[in-house]
Amino acid sequence: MKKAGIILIALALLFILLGGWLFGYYNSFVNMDEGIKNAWAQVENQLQRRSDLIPNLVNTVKGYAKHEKEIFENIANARARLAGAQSIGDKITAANEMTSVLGRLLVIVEQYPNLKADQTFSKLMDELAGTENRIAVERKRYNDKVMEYNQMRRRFPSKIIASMFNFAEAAYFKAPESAKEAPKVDFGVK
Amino acid sequence: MKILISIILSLFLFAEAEAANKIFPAPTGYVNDLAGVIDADLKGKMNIFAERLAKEGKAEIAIVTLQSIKEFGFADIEEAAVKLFEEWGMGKKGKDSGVLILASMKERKIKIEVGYGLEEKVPDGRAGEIIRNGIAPYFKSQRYGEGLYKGLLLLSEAIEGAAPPAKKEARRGQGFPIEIITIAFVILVTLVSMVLQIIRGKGKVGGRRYRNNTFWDSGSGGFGGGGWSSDSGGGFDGFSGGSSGGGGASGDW
Repeated sequence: MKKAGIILIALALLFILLGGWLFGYYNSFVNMDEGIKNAWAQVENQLQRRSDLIPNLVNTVKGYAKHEKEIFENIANARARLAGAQSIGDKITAANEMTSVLGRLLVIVEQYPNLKADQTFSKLMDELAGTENRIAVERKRYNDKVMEYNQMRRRFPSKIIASMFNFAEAAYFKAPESAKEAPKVDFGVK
Repeated sequence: MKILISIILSLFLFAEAEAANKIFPAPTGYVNDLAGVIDADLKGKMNIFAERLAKEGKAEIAIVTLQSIKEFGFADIEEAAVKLFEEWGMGKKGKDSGVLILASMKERKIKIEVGYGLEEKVPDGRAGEIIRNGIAPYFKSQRYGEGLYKGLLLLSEAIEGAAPPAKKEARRGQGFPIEIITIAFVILVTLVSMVLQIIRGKGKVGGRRYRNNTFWDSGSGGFGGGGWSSDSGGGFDGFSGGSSGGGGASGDW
């Protein structure tokens, strides 16, 4: 009788331990998931900020380079696509497209020294460069969070809880290769 | 038991976070001249100026020069600035009222990284202007200290909102006499530093460990140089945990 009691207590303890362990991991997953959402919201803020900059930028460039119609069209299309994107995956694709179109605009701008000397333009370029930088920062923070979460999803023993409660894999925000050199706007005084 | 486990778990997570290695040495003041290009006089002036802004709760500004960002393993000054900002945390926590002026001598690059809370007052365009028209011209003639001082002044103008001269005149006539404000401020600073000293005496490290760091040039031991700030034992007690997200501008000279 005494022995049975001890076993019972031991079993009870084991259950409590297991339960606590489960709760702990479950809650970590929930926290991380929320962290990812929050980081993504920051990314979207910055993408929005960039989209908001574009009309002003395009108008200024048009003042000097009216005939570069193709690029203005591409920018308008990219902007519309980004605005229309619904899923995170679509948004990432559209945002990357926008980055490369803007990169091409900067190459074109190089051919207009008068434009580059324009005060309003250099301020806009600061804003654009700053925003690209902000996007890069928030993208990195988002990806770090995603990595932490995905790692925990695949590691043992948290893996069991992830599959038990259907914590799905989170998507990374991968920047396109071309984007890495494209939007580096450098407007220092030379 | 559940609580115990979650405590152990959180301790574990915390330990992991803490272990994230620091790249930059801890700050010793508002001015951290790691490249050794600012003379002591200007350094003192800048420290006093930055200290006033910090004590008034307007902004915590760090001015940092590096020989090269490559020494710290960075290719872009933007990345270095973000990391440095993360480690030091300029600006009040929650208010994020911090700014970092970072210059890397070898790459000839300057970056002004603006904390989240000051992005409206110092938009990127303004930060770019400060670099182009304020700092870079001095840097071109190797007057680094002066350039950074000019940058600091322009930055504070943007943050405090430079009133047009006429308005200033009028305000001076009606408002508090400047003496009273100064005296009140000195008293306040003295009180704060006394309280801080008491806290430190009890063994709670505030900004103390920053001062013990021997990595830093010994020249910055007595920043402040003169004036009331050194009398009142005022000085640098570390930054307050603000954050930034890549805002601001960069430029070269």
